[in-house]
Amino acid sequence: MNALTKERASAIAEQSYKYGFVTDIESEVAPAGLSEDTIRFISAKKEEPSWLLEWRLKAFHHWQKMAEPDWAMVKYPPIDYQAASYYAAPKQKNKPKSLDEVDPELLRTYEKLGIPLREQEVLAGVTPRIAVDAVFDSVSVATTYKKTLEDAGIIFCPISEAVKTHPELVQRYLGSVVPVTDNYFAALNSAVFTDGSFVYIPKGVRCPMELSTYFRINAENTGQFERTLIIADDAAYVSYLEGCTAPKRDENQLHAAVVELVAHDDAQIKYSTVQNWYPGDKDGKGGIYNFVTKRGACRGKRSKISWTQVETGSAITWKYPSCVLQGDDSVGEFYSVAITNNYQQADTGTKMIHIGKNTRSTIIAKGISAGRAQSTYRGLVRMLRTAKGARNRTQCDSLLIGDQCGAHTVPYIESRQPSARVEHEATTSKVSEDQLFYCQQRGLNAEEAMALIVNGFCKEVLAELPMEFAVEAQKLVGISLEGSVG
Amino acid sequence: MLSIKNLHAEIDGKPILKGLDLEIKAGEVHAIMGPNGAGKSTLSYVLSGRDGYTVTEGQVLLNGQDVLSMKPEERAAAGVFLAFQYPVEIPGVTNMNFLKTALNSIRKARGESELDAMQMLKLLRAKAKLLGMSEEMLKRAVNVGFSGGEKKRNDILQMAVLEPKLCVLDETDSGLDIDALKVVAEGVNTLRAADRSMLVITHYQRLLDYIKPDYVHVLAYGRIQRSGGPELALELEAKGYAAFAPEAA
Amino acid sequence: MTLAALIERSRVQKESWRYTPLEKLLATPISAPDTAVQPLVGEAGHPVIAFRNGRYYAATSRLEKLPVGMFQVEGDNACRITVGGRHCLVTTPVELHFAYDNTAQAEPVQLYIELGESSSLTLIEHHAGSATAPHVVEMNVTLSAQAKLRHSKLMHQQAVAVHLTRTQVSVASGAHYHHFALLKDARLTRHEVDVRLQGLNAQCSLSGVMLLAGHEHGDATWRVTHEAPQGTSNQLFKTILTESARGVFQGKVIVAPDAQKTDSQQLSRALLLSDQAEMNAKPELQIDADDVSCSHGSTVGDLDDNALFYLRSRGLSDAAARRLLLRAFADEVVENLHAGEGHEVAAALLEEWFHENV
Repeated sequence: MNALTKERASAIAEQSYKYGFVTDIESEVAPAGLSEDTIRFISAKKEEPSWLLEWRLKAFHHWQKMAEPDWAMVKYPPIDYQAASYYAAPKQKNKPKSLDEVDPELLRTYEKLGIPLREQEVLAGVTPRIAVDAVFDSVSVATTYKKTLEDAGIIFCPISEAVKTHPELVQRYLGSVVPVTDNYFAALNSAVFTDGSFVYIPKGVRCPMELSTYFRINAENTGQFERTLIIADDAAYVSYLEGCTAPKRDENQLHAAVVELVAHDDAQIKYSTVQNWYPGDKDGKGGIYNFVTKRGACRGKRSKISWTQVETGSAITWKYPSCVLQGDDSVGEFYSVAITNNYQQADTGTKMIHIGKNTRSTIIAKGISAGRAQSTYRGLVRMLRTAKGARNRTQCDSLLIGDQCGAHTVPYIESRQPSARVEHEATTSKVSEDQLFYCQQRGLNAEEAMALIVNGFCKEVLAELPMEFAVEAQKLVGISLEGSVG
Repeated sequence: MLSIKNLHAEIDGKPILKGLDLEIKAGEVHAIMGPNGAGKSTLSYVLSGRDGYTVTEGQVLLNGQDVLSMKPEERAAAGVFLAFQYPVEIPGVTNMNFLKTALNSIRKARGESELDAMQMLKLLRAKAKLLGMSEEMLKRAVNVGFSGGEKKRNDILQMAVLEPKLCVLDETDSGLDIDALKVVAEGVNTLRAADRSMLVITHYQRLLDYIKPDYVHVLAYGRIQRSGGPELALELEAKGYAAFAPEAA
Repeated sequence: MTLAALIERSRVQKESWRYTPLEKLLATPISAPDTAVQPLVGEAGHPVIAFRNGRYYAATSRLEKLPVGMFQVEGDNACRITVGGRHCLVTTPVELHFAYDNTAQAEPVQLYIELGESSSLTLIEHHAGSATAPHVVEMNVTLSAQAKLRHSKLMHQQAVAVHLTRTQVSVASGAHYHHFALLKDARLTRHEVDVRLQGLNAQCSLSGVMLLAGHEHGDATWRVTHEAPQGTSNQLFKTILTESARGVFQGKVIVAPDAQKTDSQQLSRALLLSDQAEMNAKPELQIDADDVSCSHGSTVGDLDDNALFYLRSRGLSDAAARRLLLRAFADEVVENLHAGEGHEVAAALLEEWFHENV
């Protein structure tokens, strides 16, 4: 960039990650290393039934035979899977029955993160009405609004609890969308997953509030391996939001999650993510390795699954929220903003597998690279022979800020059905000096101008977020790009 | 209001302005006319602080403040407004949002309170009405898909909202047919005020039929070659710019 | 490059060959066709350089009109075309004839084409034959500053052919590489073009039409690397598939960190006319410079129902309406050919194919 913007850039304060604090709390941490014993330890801690332990072990044995994928455009030193700990939980005497029994230190943590755990505050109108499952390291520490939701017949609880209270549902759906053998990180997750959320919306029920899980990695040298399972029965509707943060640490921490969604006839699931894991510092030190498998099955006719993601954090993101469109007339959507700055690397996109007739999918992906970051969109659209009358529209736009970063687009389009139509478009451009100057001439400083232009670039995607989070996400876009002008 | 003294400026080491002097008092409308390559656009970009235009000598004061040391947005806050020859398209950003962000930034810089959404809406509606513009235009992305005339009117709307002290209109007539030109000129005339000065930069006299200047200057070879009243523009139209070469001045 | 070397390459470069598993595709047995192939006849007045089963074949070559020293045979399978000196303009198009039959093993061909500063040449490749064995043609093209090469390729052979070609092009400052390919009638085609724009303002335009029927497998894999600033590249590729054909288009644009002000456009479109056909497209951008304008678009679908109905409501039969629309679809690419560089031949080949397959 030119001298004028450079000069301004130097005046801009260094990027600050405001969620980088550490909670001082006594934790029970499993010794480092991964073996059958580790899995038995986790399973025992969770007091799991034997079928689940067997399931985990099967995944583990399969994982041992697999190779870490190397096709993504991300570079990182080899991960030592034996160096990390696979279980960390805050010490609690007994499982808290209500929020009053939760360690106040934990409550303060969530307060600091801006996550509403106290229902009365929410009712007072301070924050929007959202039911939250708060996952701290390897365990769920609190779930709000359980009672209200139960009255509607909705199950919203930690998955470790669902294994005990609704084993038939868990056993029926767990691994049915992402099999244990699906990929390296999914197999690892299946072997060692610790907690996560379970949601079941019964037939015909429209979930009366947003459901949300907030993931927080706190402990050192641990990975987080959560498992989320959401089932929307016939004609049910749910909107679910996932958020995540972690303290600033110099070493890299692994996060390998699996999310499975199942939508039956006429059901709709809207899944939104604001991913703000610690991205590492400006020199690329530290940060979360985010290797996530997310997949939704539109099993029913006219069902709909919509993924919206705002990816601003993590040192490395490897993530492809996908839809398997089995039911006739089912709909899959993927809206994504991926912002990488400094030394961040993101290889993210989606898969839309069209099986049923008249299935439709929309992909809108916006990638922004700044600093020395590398951002890749990788997507697959597949029209099977059975997908008569199916439609896909894909729009991928990349924006480059500065000449040290890279933006890549790798779409795969596979069609075997003549009446199916696939349309893909991609562009790469930079924020023009003209646009910046125009805004500055109208009184915005360089950073405000950049945030405004980038928010405009991402608008179609941000508009898909639930309203309460759209505002947050817009701010996050600006914050993520701090220090990028110049 | 505006005082330009011995202004020298260059692009890529090539001198364009070579000792330009100009004084504009509050409420006055000055026109600068000149042939292509005279340095008209350079002057507008130097006044608004565009990168790549290096001032090598001279000073520019706006109400006593040194303009040249300011960043573009500081100049905007100080009251400098440039109506662009070619307004820029910004996809995905609505006019409404753009104006709101711009005005609040300027108010903040001036130490004034920011307007909330309701106040802003009221203000924008009033301004749009004043200029006879539809509210629908506020909802559209900045200049995206606008005709040449719409883009210029959009710039005038911004002028109305931001209430600058000094408006620099850079070849506002370019790319406009006569009807669009009239509409834009009407907008500009509506915004004439005792505490607002205007600098109208144009190649052709026709714009000055609609925006009547108090003074006309001929800019050629990097300097003001002659100054006079509105009649100078007519003289120019008759004689052409050749008569204003430095030797002839 | 020998077939064995090519197979080895396909093993190593898995991603580039993901939709064309070469070894597996070559394993399918094939019987020789029962009809003879029309011999290739060059347009009157065009010099002809002929190859038979991969070897230079003097009997059907017509070198008399070529400037002295422009063409050289180097060893058994390597040939060199040199347009030397400054401002050397070869005004008559030069034809390259590749004929294959089952009388001898096909040898791999290696062709070097070098254009000196500010020189220009038009090259028309014709491929014909009834051979069932795979043939490999590799071309290395070097364009010096301001040189201009217009290079078209037309396939006439029987659908039993296995046609494996790779063209590597380096383009110096201000030079322009223009390529057109009509790919058809081969049971297996791999058409690789790899262009490196190495000098300031270097340009390339690649265009192609691929027509696939029966159980044919056609693969066009193009790569354009912008290594220097202000380069321009254009890619336009269209595929029409019927019956059980499988088509692949992989178009990759790489912009190196220094290649600022790159302007790169790519469009690929495919029409699937049968529910047994399959199209795989992988348009790809790898951008490491910021001040660029790069885009690609890709569509796969069927003919537009509204357009079909409109034509039929004006009296055209369904087949005629389809042919008309298909022709319009292909013509947008064929228009890139000038008269005298194979335009008429390409038009005739298209018409013939539509007549047989639609």
